[in-house]
Amino acid sequence: MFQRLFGSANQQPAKNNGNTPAGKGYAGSALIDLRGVTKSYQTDAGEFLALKQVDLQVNAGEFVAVIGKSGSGKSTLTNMITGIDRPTSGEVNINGTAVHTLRENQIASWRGRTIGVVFQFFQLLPTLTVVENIMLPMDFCHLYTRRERYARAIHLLEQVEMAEQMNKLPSALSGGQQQRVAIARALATDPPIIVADEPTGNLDSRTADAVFHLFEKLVEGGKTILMVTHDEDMAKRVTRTVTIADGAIVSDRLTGRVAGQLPIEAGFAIPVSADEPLPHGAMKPALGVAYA
Amino acid sequence: MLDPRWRKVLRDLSSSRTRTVLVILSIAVGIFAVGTVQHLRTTILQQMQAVYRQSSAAQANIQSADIDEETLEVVRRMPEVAAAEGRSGIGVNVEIAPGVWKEMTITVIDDFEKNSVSLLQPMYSLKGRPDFGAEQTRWPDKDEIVIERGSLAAADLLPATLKVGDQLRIETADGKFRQLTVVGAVYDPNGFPAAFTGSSNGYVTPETFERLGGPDTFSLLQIRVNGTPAQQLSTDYITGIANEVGNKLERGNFTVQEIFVPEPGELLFQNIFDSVSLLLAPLGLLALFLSGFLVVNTISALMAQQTRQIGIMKAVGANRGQIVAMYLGAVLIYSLLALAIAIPLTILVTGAILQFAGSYINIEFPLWSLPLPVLLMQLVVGILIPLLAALTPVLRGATVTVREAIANVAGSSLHAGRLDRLLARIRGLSRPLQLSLRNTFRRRARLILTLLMLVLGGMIFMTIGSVRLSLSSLIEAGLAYSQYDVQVTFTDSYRTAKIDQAVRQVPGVTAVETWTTSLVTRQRDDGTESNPITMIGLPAESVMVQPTLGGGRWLVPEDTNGIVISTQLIASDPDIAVGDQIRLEFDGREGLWTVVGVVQVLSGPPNFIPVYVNYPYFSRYTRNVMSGNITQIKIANDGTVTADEVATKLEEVLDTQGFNIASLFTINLIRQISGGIFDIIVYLLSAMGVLIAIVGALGLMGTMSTNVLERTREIGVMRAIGATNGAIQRIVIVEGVFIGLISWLIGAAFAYPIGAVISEAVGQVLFNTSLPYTFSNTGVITWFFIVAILATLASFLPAWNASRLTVREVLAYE
Repeated sequence: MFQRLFGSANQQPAKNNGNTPAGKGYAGSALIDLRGVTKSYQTDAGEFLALKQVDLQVNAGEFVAVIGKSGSGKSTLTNMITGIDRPTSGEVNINGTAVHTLRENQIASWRGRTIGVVFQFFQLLPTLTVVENIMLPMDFCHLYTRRERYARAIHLLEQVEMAEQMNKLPSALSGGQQQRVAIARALATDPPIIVADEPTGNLDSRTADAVFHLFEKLVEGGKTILMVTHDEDMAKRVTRTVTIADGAIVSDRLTGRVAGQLPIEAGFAIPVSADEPLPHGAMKPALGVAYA
Repeated sequence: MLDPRWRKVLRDLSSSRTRTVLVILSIAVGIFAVGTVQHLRTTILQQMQAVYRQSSAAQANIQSADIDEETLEVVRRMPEVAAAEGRSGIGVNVEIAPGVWKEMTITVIDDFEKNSVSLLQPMYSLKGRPDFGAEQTRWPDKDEIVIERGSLAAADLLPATLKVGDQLRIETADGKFRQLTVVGAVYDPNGFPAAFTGSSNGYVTPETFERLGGPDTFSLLQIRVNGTPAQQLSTDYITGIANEVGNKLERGNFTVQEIFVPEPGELLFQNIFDSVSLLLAPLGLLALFLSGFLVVNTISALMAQQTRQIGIMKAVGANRGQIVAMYLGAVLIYSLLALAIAIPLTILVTGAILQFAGSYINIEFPLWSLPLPVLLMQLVVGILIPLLAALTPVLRGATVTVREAIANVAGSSLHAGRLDRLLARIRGLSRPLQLSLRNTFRRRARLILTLLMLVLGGMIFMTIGSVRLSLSSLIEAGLAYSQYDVQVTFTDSYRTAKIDQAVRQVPGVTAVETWTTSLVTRQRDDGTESNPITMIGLPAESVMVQPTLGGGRWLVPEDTNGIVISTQLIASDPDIAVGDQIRLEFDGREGLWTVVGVVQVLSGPPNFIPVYVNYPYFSRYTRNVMSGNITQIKIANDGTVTADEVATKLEEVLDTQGFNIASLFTINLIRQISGGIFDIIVYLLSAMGVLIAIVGALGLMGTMSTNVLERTREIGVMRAIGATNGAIQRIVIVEGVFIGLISWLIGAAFAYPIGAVISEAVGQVLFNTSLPYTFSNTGVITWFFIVAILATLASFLPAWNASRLTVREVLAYE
């Protein structure tokens, strides 16, 4: 049931042999494909490089944790993937779409159908009830009939065990409950990718664990999840961990169970110097080789 | 089932009830103001024109004594004349209760059946007087009378329960008593309404008229002319024909005293309503414009407040168009709700105004209705203006990117400006007061729009006070011109000594002065001729007038061909200036006159153009020495007699001694008529001022609510560090009052020059003359208190709401 509901209608997950992170040989088929992405901001103190020549490929079905210190560029990286922000240079291809070439308006409806976004502070619309919050993305993206939207929203709420609260306003829910609703909302349009920015950062450990468990189930159902987190323990439970520091990926390793086959900490950590960013188009070396 | 996005729109509106109510009310006031002005304008003018057409109103009135049926026939045979009728009127007293007498004007109609000019319309039903028995109305025979409906509607002019078949007890000018049977009611749209004159009107046959002491001839010749539709609307064309008729009469040895050509195509008072609507229209638009500002302010605040939500919606798939549609949809809902209030309110208020104005000017307006064009205009304006006003803030708000929205960049750009630093440097201010003052300047654009609303509202309020005062000054100046208490106009010229002797027989008369008047025309250099000008010959040192000069000087005894012209002549012949020589034709002779001064003359009928010359010279010039046809009388001011009593007695004495009286006015009557008109103007202007002030107050309340809403977190923090309810309320209220006072200062600074401009416009539109500008300090002081009270009230609700916030609620606030 869970798999049927959460299984992606928009993109079938690519076969993953369980021990191969997105590597050079998979670049063309990666669901998330960032190449040479640089993002700079003009600040009062001059130009600030938030991302430096970042390359990242994520295949369908992966559960990727992006970790790093505050200000390291994690959120900027996810913003590139969700189209919330644009690269100063480089390419962002998501699910076969060159997001960096889309106009703001095109990005909005593309994002609505392709990526479910989960925020740290839940960001439910305060004047809409729980079920209405979930129906909203389907409404904006013109997906399903009105009746189907309602039925789907209820099903999603059942899956996150929030169906009983469907007619409440967000303000009447606890943080954990709100985040469950936010996850259900992220799934409303059945996107192949879920991007979550510190989804458990604002929750107590028990609730955080429950939310994380939800994500695990989603991955089992074929979703691809990219999650920014501070929580090292959480990071251990994903299939792959990308560490970012000073705007560059300093480590990208397979962690935990990859489709239930690899033990935790089986991956390699390949340090990449922040001072010597990889040239555009270059892939991080030998990640795939490490598992070959 | 409504889509969630539209549910969000509705919930947002209902969750910010105060703001929603304020915006709706503000838009409603704007729609109401323009709708009401347009409704009044459309309905009054349409109805007046319809009545004018139906009544075959006289296009020219020629005043001359002793016009008989034979003369009328001669005039009727003139090819240019379509119809001609004679009228005469006399003043009598009517007993309205035992021993209580009121004035009544009785007009003779030669033949009710053949009435073809200024038609009397029989009334078979009377609103508000079902007991009168109007269904039995018929034309009167001997000793019978029909009553003008306005006289029946006015209070205390006739017996309260008067009905068809009743006998009216009449006292004639020579003290005789007559009984007249009331046989019905008529409508005379061309007569002076009873509500204005305070005298009822009745119509009788010539036979009855004579029995009441009236002459067997007519003193007024009313004509309608033949001509193309364009000619029918040409004052010059009609005046030309009226002059020809006048010349024909003079050739037949009649003395034409006055030719009066009303504005073609217009009913009595129509020009006043034209002018008033001209003045009200911009004020209505201003109210709408100001309500548009409030929409801009509110929607800008809404968009800023919802930046994060917009970002979230975009994050889950909303595109810019959908966001724009949602917020414009909200504005559309504001508009529709505002229309739902404004349209019925327009119908109610215009109905009340039309009922009042209708009873005043004796016209029945369609009440409680809304003409389709006005409805359409209200719909278009009510929907378009708020949408246009909201467009920029909505577009700007919808452009925010998800990243900006999540980071809330748009709503957090506050920097300490020069003003903040300046305020921080002011010593002796308490911290909360300093906070209030600094808060005032935090949202500059919003502050500017709020100030603009309040300044404009206040300025108009203060200005209307000045316009009102200037109008009063003009009336007083106009009335001050007439230093006499009673004025009698004769149909013929009489020796001044003879008039003097007769008038002085009336007890209470203290001074008498007789002038002479003649109709002249100006022969312009381009060969054209002006409309008839009334030349008044009076002693230069007359104590009966106190002229208000608009330039040059008044007459001096040494003046021979010196002439003082009126602003009315300047209006029709603007090329004339003091020092110029003008050529005037009188009785086929031309003479050159030197303009020595310009005088402002208020009273008189439309198209009345007076000029003043020295009596001794003028009487020689007209070969009418020692005689005159218009007499001014002063009465004792010791309270022993009233002007009305003297007037009644005068009429009796003069009639008895064989003088033919054309008209007899007391200054009180002129004051009453002038005051009535100006009251309407001032009431309407004041009502507009109040409306604009309301929009300003709503604007301030909206701004304060938004400010408080935006500072919810800040208020919570203040509470957390120990601010009491009172302290928080004071901070908000002081800010509101401070904004109010700034607006007052700016408004007061502009009130004087703007008041001068508007007074000038009012003067020119209404009287072709400048109003004697009198600045109303009272208006400025009143507005100070009003704005202080409004600002306190407008900030109180937001302040109270702010003080009710708990720290817990505030910290949960997004």
